[in-house]
Amino acid sequence: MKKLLLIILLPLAMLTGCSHEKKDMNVSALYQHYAVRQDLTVAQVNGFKLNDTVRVDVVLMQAEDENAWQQLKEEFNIQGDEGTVSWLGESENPAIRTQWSGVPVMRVIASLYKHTIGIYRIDNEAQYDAIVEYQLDKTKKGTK
Amino acid sequence: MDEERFEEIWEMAEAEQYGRRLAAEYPAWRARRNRVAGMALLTLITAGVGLPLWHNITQSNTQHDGYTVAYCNRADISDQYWVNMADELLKSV
Repeated sequence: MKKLLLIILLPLAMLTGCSHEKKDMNVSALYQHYAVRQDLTVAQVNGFKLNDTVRVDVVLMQAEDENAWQQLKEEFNIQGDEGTVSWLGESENPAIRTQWSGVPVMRVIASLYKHTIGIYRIDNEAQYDAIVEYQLDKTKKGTK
Repeated sequence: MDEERFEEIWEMAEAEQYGRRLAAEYPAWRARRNRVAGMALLTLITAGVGLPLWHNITQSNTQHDGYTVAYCNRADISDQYWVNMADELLKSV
C-alpha cells in the first residue's frame, strides 16, 4: 500500500513543485519586491498585446492611500500633481522618438489621478516601436 | 448410524465441497482482482501524472484576449482589470 502511494504521490508532488517554480519564474523581481506591501495592489501582466506580433510585460501598482502614493512617487521619481506623466510625453507635446539604445529599459507611465503606475519592460527595438505606435494609434482612435 | 452423526458427516461433506469450489474459483477470482487493481492503479498514475502536465500545457498555451498570463497580490481583482489599466495608461499619454 505504501509503495502504491509512493508511485502515485511522487510524480504528482514533483510535477506540482515544478509548476510552482515555473509560475515564480514568470513573475519579475520588481513584482515580487512590491507584492508583499500591504498598502499597494500589485499586478504583473505578461504578454500584453501591442500588435499581432509584439507583446510586452507590464507591472502595475496601485496605491491604497495617499501615503503609499507619495512613497511610490518618490521611489519612481514621478513629479507633478495631476494628469499623466510619461516618457512618451503628453498628447499636445509628444516626446521625440529617440534611437533605440540597444539596452533593455523599464518605462514608467503614471496616472496621478488613479494613483497607479505601469512599468513596461522593453527588451528590444520592436517593442520600443510597437509601444509608441500603440499609443499613437490608440490616441487617434480615442479622438475619433 | 444415528441421526446426529449423520448430520455431522453431512455438514463436513458440504463444507468440503464448498472448500473445493472455492479453491477451484480462487485462481479466476485472483486474476480478476489483480486486473481490477491494475486498472485502478493505472488510472491513478495516469491522472496523477497527466493532470498536472495537462494543466501546465494548457496554462502555457492559453492566449487570453490581449495578454498571456497575469498575476496579482489580491485575488479579488480580475486579470482583465489590469489589462485594461495597462491599455488605459498607454492611451492616456
